[in-house]
Amino acid sequence: MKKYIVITFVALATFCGCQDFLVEDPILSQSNELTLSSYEGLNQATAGAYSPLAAYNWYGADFVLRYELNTMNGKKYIGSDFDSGRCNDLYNMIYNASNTSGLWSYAYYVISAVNNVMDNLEGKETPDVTVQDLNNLKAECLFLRALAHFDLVRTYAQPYCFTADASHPGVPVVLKTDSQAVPARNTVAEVYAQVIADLTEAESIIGPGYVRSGVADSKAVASVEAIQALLSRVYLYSQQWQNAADYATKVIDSGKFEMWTVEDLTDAACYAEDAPAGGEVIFEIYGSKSNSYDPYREGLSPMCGPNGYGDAGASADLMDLYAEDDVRGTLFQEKDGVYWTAKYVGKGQATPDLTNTIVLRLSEMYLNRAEAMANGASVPGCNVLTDLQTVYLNRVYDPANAAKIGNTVEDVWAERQKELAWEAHYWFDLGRTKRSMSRTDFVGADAAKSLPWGDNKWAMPIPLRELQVNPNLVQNAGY
Amino acid sequence: MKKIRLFFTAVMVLLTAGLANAQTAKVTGTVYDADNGEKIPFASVRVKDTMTGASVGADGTYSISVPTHGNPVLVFSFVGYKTAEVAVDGRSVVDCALEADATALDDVVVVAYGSARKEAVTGSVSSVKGETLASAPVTSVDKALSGKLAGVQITAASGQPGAASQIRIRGTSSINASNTPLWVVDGIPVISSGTSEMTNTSNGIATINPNDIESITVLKDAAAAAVYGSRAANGVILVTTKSGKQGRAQFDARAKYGVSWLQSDSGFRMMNASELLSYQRDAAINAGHNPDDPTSTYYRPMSLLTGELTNWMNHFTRPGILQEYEISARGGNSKGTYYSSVSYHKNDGVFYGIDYSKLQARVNADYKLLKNLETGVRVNVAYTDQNDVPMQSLYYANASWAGLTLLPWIPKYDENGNHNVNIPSNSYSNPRATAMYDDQWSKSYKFNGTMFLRWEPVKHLVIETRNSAEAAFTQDRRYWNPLSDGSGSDATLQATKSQYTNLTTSNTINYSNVFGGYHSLRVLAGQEANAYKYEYSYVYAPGVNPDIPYQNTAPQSNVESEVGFSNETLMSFFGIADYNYDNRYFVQATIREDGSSLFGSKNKWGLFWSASASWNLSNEKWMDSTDSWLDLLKVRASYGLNGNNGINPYKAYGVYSSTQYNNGVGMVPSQPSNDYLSWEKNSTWNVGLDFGFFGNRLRGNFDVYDRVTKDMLLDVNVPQTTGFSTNFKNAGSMKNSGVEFQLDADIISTPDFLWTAGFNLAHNKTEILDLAVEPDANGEERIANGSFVYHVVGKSMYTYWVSDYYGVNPANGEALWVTEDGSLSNNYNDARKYYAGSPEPKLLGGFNTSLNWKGLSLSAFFEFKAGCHVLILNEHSYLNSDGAQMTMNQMASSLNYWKKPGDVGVNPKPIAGNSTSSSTALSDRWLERGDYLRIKDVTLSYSLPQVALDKLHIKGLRFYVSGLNLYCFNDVNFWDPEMGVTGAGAGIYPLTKSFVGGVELSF
Repeated sequence: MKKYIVITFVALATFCGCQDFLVEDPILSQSNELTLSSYEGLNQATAGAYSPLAAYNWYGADFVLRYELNTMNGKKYIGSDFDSGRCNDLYNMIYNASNTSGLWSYAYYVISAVNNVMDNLEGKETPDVTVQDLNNLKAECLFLRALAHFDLVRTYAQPYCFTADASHPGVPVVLKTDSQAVPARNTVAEVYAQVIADLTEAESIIGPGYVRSGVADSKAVASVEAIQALLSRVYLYSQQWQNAADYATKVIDSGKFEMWTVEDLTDAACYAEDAPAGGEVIFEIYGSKSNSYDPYREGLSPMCGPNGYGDAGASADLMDLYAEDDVRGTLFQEKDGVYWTAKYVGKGQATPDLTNTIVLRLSEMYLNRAEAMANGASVPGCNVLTDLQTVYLNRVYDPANAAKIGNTVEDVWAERQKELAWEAHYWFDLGRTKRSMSRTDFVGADAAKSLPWGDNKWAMPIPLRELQVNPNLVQNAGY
Repeated sequence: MKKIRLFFTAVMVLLTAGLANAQTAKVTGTVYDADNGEKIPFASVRVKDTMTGASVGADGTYSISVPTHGNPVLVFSFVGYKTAEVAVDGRSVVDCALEADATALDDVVVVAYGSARKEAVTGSVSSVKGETLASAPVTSVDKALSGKLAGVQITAASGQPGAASQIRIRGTSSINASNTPLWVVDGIPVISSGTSEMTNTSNGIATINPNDIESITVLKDAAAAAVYGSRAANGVILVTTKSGKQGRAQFDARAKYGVSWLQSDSGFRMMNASELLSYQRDAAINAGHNPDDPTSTYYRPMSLLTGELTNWMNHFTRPGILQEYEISARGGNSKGTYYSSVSYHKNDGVFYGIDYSKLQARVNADYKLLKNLETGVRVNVAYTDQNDVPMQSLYYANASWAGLTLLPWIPKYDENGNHNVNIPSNSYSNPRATAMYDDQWSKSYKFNGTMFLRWEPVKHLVIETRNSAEAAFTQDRRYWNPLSDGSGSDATLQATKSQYTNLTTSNTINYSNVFGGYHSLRVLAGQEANAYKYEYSYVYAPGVNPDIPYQNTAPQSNVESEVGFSNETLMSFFGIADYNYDNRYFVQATIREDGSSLFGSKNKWGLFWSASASWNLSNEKWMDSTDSWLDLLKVRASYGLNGNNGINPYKAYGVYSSTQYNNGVGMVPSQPSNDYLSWEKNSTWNVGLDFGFFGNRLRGNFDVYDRVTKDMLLDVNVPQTTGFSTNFKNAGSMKNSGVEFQLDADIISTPDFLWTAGFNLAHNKTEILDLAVEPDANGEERIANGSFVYHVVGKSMYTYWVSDYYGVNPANGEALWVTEDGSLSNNYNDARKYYAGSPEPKLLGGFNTSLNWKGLSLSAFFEFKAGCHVLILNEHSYLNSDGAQMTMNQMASSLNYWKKPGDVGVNPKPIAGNSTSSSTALSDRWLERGDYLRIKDVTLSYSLPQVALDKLHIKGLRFYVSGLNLYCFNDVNFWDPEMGVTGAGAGIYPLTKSFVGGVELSF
């Protein structure tokens, strides 16, 4: 009897405790709640949000390969020893809903990760954590969200100028993680507005000298200059010329960057730096074997050189642009019958080698400002010619050649192509300036030899799997 | 082992010595029925607390010797009667009247939370008695069940000693959750999965000794199983172990010894050396090479046959040896009873390096504390030690694979007489060296202990609590010794330690009564709680010192370690209500509310239920005229809802995991949360018929069922704008439907001669209804399960998707493929792909028969499957390679190849270095009918007659020989047609044949 009473009590105690009894938390992974409940967790979640930028489908390879092999800058040497079968569809512009850029999932993954952080920053101040600390995290998140949305809208939508008011379809703007959401596409204008709003807010709240600590490459994290530089480009793409010029000026005048010289560019030395201290780099993606998103043998270095697959070559069309005394011509050299860019020659750290991917650098700021001024913007003490010369004089062996430069918008475009080739600019530059793409050193399918401006292929198709699960998405015309 | 033998001998010696000294007198008498006074033939009588016993003759009389000292008591017993005890009191004639035992007269089966008369069962259950299971010398209970119960499919995925079986009751109900039934042992759910981390296979159920089992009941439909709620969807197997019996201790000692070997019954074999050489020379010539040219890539001179030649499969195998020794005791008095056993089992596999041994002991004890309060324990402990070598894949060190592929002219031993490991074509491996030098083992200690307390405070009311602890500790080691690897790899160690505990409390209150003589009512309410905790640690240490092969000697910067945890809890409340009117109309309802830690916060609790009814026509008054020949005619119907909670823990949680970038560590979301994650739900209806004719000499049942799985758990694509690509959701549905039939007959039943036969047959059809996927480019809604098995909406659970091989071009011996438009092409890439069949059997079943004449018994048991396919494509693509694999031996079936124009129905012309993909794996060229009829066991046994037993003063002595898996009728061009549930197991240990002989002694 006594035993039974004891057992009854045990059983009763079990009933009462059953709400807790039925909770078994995972021990080895961290729950969303735990990660997002403290500054430390939020800080780690912010650091982690940079990680997918290094993925193959983004700056790890595809974002550069796709937009260079699409243009006269790139050539796939079909049938050569360096034809591993990769990149064929990029070169021949064979796109459809099942064969399109994979950026979508990575960019929205980053957007979701930073939205989670931003939704949980409020009230996390402690005696050791200041409002500025929290603002710095938020600024990083806003920067990443803006970059992700910007790259998405550049990829999956026609350029800003495709319609007069940019009212054509862009990509969904996602500002909050919602597992049930099936968002429709915002207009391109709305996407740009959000990108600008995010960057403007980030600029206003980030600590002046703030750089995330504990990283190998301080140029691979957000800074006030990275935010401003990206703003300059976004304004340029959306033809807000004065703002584009002003933000370029902010970066140039920060004094934190200096133009690479002929010497720096010799043997592409400045492109092979591991963690650049000075020089032009404002924001880049850091390559490392320990990256969780290491593209390994399909990274830019093995794809753009003879020591790897080497499917992504440069074209003679591009080579022909460089004058005899232009050091930038040496960044494209012929080996085994193929021209390759030396911009991803690697850091000499691994086999296959690793490279950083530069996203924003000082030359672009001068070129942004020059183009903005050529379109009517004004900056005291500056003009198109001096900005172009700043770039050009650092690229030629004989300064006397500076006289060859003009000051029209076409001159800016030409200089921009030469300076920023193989850094994922030219394709977008063509599109946003209503120029067509054409190439002569081309061995691919005839249909991809040229592309008139306004063609459907200036916007990549929305991925099929996304259309299947989100009825609110509308595919781009022509796919 | 020696010790056990010694102990056994000692016991025997002591007992015989004690008996020799007794003084006896003779007592005679008659045994009759207390009700009608009729004599009862063949009852048994024994002297209490002694080993003396006698049997009652056909005329109801007996004669027995009793001791002259003291006042001996005679114990009379017979099936269907209550045991009676009568003191001799100095008489020489002692008669005894036996009272009928009402509960024993009906066949009683164990059901969920109790037992029931077979007549009263409303759901679909199948049961099998312990003695049936134990009659064939199988090594684990799952194997003993194979083919015995309608609708219970037991598939061997490996013939390795100690291997687990794949058990499916009424088909397959889930893609991502469990498909295995719940095992309940003595009222407590137990963990049935194996514990080892490193070995090829591991069977958690094998720690139960088949000889300890009193009965097994399989609960198949919702009505029978629903009271197990969220774990009942795949059926429930109830195991009841033997409990003690009142009376003097009875010992049962068993010993068995067997040998096993590898054999194919379908004619499958590899080429011998001269066949292979001639084949390879033809292939070389067909490829434009001269096989006699030493500079040729395919230099295959005839002189290869003059060196030492090896049949590698023979070299890798040996006769397997099985031995098992066991002793059990049961006995007790009116206060308490006990059953205990200890067994030792060792099975050396047919491949070198594979063995399995198990030491197991059980104590089951019951004690009456008070008149209305009873307690008991059920304790089982087991130690298993399993050694093996890598199998289950086409791996170089896998003897079952390398034994097929190695070329006969490669030397077995090197110049020093050691196993040759310098075999480049086998990646510098030799499975004999692997078996000798490498480690791959698992040692496990397992404890199951249950204690119960049963109290009857007032008549008809029973309150019971049952509390159980199950725990296992397992240690595994895998070590690659440089001596077993000719390429000079580092000595590498992997080791794990894992443990789990599973605590359960189950508490019920049961009221049963009969009102007004006709209304029988039983109501049960209960509560259960279960907590399961698992953890493991793992260490990986490359570069250890081969002289000290432990992780301490590896360069510490290379040593990796990790831990893992997996915990889950379950809380349940349940009830059962039974009512029957006059044993004619039966209704039952069950309900269970389960709360589980596995599921989302919004769906932690789920409600499961069933309702069922049956009508026993044979008890109707108007059926009285049939009483002479009809014993039972009952119709049943049931419907209910069961759950399937067989998923890994933590799937409902949104979690972050670490990520590395920029030489720092950050966190990224790694799994979306799903607060609504819930059980898969199975709703089942079942209609059945039970019958018994001619004094139940012909009996059987028939069932029709339909079970629909809803809320099937799938990785559903979600918009990536949510941050994730897929979410684990309750989204799909599928269906199992089928019929089952079971028939048993006592064809001849006389006191001296008994001939019985049984037959069962089941048909089950699966159909996938919804996978929550969008149609793919071909308009198909499907999910791949590997590269050639698909789950397809509208088709069965597993469907093969392979290229359409046409055959050989009679003109030139090229392989031809059927293309999309129906034309033929010699280019594999043009071949159309199509759904080529399913590994699921349309029919499965078994039949058995047994002949008993006096003490001699011959029984045979057959099992069959029909209407299924196997696709042994991995092996075939390499071993019928049409010349593509010139460094591997080929199947003898390859010899039948195209030789001259006009040859049809043959293999393509072999071409050395063949690059036409003619032997590609993903092709219906390898599709075969998987039907088989297997002679599962044939047992001849002899039990000593009572006269002889009396002389020997023992209770029983039985000798037997069994042939297990003696022959399998099939046309599959491989070892055996059983290749796992997907019909495509690769590199598995084939099923073996064996002969086992044994002796069983009761005293």
